Formats: sequence, C-alpha cells, structure tokens
Amino acid sequence: MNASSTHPEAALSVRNLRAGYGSREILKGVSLEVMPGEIRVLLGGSGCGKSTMLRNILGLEKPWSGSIRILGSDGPIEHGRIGVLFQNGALVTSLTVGQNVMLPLVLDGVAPKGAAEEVARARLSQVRMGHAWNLFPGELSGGMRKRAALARALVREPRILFCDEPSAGLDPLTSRELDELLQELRDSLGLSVVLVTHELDSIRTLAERILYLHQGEVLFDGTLPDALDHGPDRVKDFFARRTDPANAIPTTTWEVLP
Amino acid sequence: MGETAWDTANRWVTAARFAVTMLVGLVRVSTGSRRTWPMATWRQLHELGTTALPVVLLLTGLIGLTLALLMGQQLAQYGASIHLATLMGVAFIREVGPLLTAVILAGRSGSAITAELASMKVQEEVDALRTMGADEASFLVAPRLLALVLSTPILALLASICGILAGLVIAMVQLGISSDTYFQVLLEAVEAKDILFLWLKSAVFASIIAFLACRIGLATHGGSDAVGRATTKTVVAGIFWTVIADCIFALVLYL
Repeated sequence: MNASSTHPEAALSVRNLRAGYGSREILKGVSLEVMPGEIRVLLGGSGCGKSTMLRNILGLEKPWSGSIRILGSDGPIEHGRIGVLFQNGALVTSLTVGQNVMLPLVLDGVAPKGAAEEVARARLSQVRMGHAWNLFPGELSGGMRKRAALARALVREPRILFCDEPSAGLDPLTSRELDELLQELRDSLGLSVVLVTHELDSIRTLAERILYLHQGEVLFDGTLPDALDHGPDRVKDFFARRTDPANAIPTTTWEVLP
Repeated sequence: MGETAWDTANRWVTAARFAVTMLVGLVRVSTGSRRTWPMATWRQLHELGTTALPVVLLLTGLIGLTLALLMGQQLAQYGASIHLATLMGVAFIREVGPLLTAVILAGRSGSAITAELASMKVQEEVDALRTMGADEASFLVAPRLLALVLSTPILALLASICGILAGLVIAMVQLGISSDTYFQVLLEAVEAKDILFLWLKSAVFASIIAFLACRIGLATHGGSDAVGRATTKTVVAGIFWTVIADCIFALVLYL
C-alpha cells in the first residue's frame, strides 16, 4: 500500500511493520501515523515491542517487512531531520556537555569553534543548561543529562523528535519539568514528537494520541479520552491501575495467570 | 557438527566484514569524507601510546636485566661474554621488544578500548551516534586503530632499546665489558632490516589488537557484566593472535 497517497501530510507513517530478533517475531504488522506538530505516545507492557518499533523506525534494526516513511521519504533516514532522546541520555561520556551538543553539527562539517558553538550554546540555554557547557556527563544528575541530550537532539532543528522513556529514573518533579520542556519546545519549534513512556502524568500532559501495543500488535490507537471511554479492558485497566494506587494489585484473571 | 562449522564460518565472515568496514572507516577519515571528533586520534595516541610508555619501558627493562643476567652467566662459562651484546640486540629488536610490547598493549590498551566501546554500546551511546549519522567505523574505530598503529612501533623500538640498555648494565657490572665494545658488537649484529621488521611486526600486532578490541567492544550486548566479559575476551584473544602472528613472522622472515 502506498502510504503517501492516503496520508500525504503525515510526518511519520509506519505501515504493517513486522520485525523481530532471530526467528522471534516481536512486531506483527503494526501501523502508526504521526501528524506534523503532533505528540504521539507509544505505550504498552514490558516486551510489547515499543522499543523494537522505535529501533526499526530509527534505522537501528532492519524490519522484516512493511514500510516506514519519514517526512515524505521512505529511503535512508535523513539524520538532520530527526532528533532522538535516548532513555539515559546516551551522551558521549568522553566529551563535555558542550561538545556533545555540538557533535551533530561537527558531523555535518561545521567547525566546532564558531557557528557550531553558537548554535549549541543557544540550544543549551533553551533547555536551561547553559551553565553546564564544560561539565562532563558523569558530573550531571539524571534530569540534567536528559536536558543536555534534548539540546543535542534539537541542535540540527529536526522536524521529528523521538523520545524513549524520557521520564525513566527521574523523580516526579524533574519528570514534570521535562514534560513541560518538551511541550514548550514542541510549541515553539513546531515539532512532531514520538514518545515512548509508561508515565501516566506524562501521557496526560503530553499525549494527543496514543498507540497501545500488546504482544506486538496494536490494541488501541486514538486519543486518551477515547481510550478511557471506549478502549479495550486491558487499556482501561492500564490507566486505572496507574491512576488509583489501591488498584495496583492485579484484579483480573489474566493478570495473575502466568 | 554441521551447525558448529556453519557458526564458525559465519563468525569468520562477520570478522572479515568488520575488517573491511574498519579499513573503509580509516580511509574515509583519512580522506575527510567522514568526520570524527577533531583531535580524536591525538587523544587516543596519548591514552593508548604515551601513557603506556612507563609500564612498557619498566617491564622490558626488567626482562632485559633478567635475560642478560642469565645469558651472561652461561656465555661467561664459554668465554663468550662479548656475545651478550649480539644476543640482546638480536633478541630484543627481532623478538622480545615487539612481542612484549604487543602483549602489554593487548592487556592494557586493548582492554581499555573494549571497555570503553562496550560501555558506549550498552549505554546506547553507539546507537545515539548512529542516529546522528555518525559512521562508527570512522568515528570510533579509525582513531583507535590509527593511534595504536602509529604508537606501537615507537613503543616497541623504545622497549627494545630499554632491554638492550639493561643488557649493557649487566655487561658492564657483571662481565666487565665496556660500553664502547658492547655497542660495537651490537651494531655489527643488528641490521637495518631488523628495525624495518620491528616496525612492520609491531604495526601488524597493533592492527590485530585494535581490530579485536573494537570488534569485541562493539559486539557487546547486555549490561555491565557483559562489559567485563568482553574485556577479558579481548585480552585473551589479543595475546593469542599476537603470538600466532609472531610465529608466522618468525617462520617467514627467519626460516
């Protein structure tokens, strides 16, 4: 199927993606569409295929079949048009924060002294990390590392930002600050954001549409209110257990089964 | 049986592919078609070469002293003490210097490369570089390969000189040979081609160590325990293949 003919305006279009490791199939024909400027959340239980999907979209793994179309192109990824925020930031530990943020520009051939430094400093200030220019990643807190990594992801002015569990390992306050920062950046830069997260607060704050994966298949694709009103029981339960701590204990038969 | 043969063949094919990727990365960085971090090779030269100098010199010096002491006693029994210079020159320039340097570097620099790359791999730094469009062969492997290939022959030469000087100490103190005589005999025994072979052997050993260290490091999966296992594997494989290569050199050059 030609995705562009049915959804010409999508920033990201994934169609019938099948992927796995060795002979183990992880994704069983998953489709996803992200519109320009939209914040799309991928969620689901552990091992449902969220990370595999992200890795396939980013070109880190080769899909078995299906199509991935990013910003109108289904050829090799144009690295300058996407930004990625990895779970632990993935800053290069041997480089300072400033050098990390300049890195994508240096790879594009911009000299580190001069233009690259100017742009990198501006991005770091935007994520409120201007003071950390000369620090090494090992000297930063988890939240600071994520913000520095966010500055690096945005330094090439990408059109789509992929975030892999940005709140993982952060306290609720820092997590909320990061969510607000993401929203602020999306609004000011007009980015599309693909967010993989389990954090209900983040989903509430950020998600415009969610895609719920279960055992490598799409269980729900729609808005959060729709998921809560008309979603499958598993999806409703996912939110219910996280909303009400009293429901944290498994309450349904399928949850206690091995 | 068939499965094992297939796995082995697969491993060799993957290794050959990595070797080609490594060379392509080196060419790309050298020609400027792909970029690495500015001064990355200098940083690696310092970390893999300069900082290894004290331990290389100390160990080769001590081994030189020990060998000279043992050989000096034997030679003195036959009235051939003067040939200590010949033996020390030939042994250190042709064999002990390059091999011992390579073994030390396999343990020190090889493990350091693997530990760094494996940590980068498990912490998704390598994935992050890929998503930025960096070619890992150019960005990560080429500076390390270049640094080792450039620094190892220099270290091996200095190590050989250190071992020979240790021999001089024994020659002067224990055997009563003057330094002039020692160097005169030494220069008669050692030829220019020996220095050339030292350089060549050391460069090959360095390539083997860099290849194994980078390949094992970048193939690491899992957590921090995987980093430890990868490091051990590099040291063992590095020493093993260096000795194999040394044996082949000996057969080809001196048989």
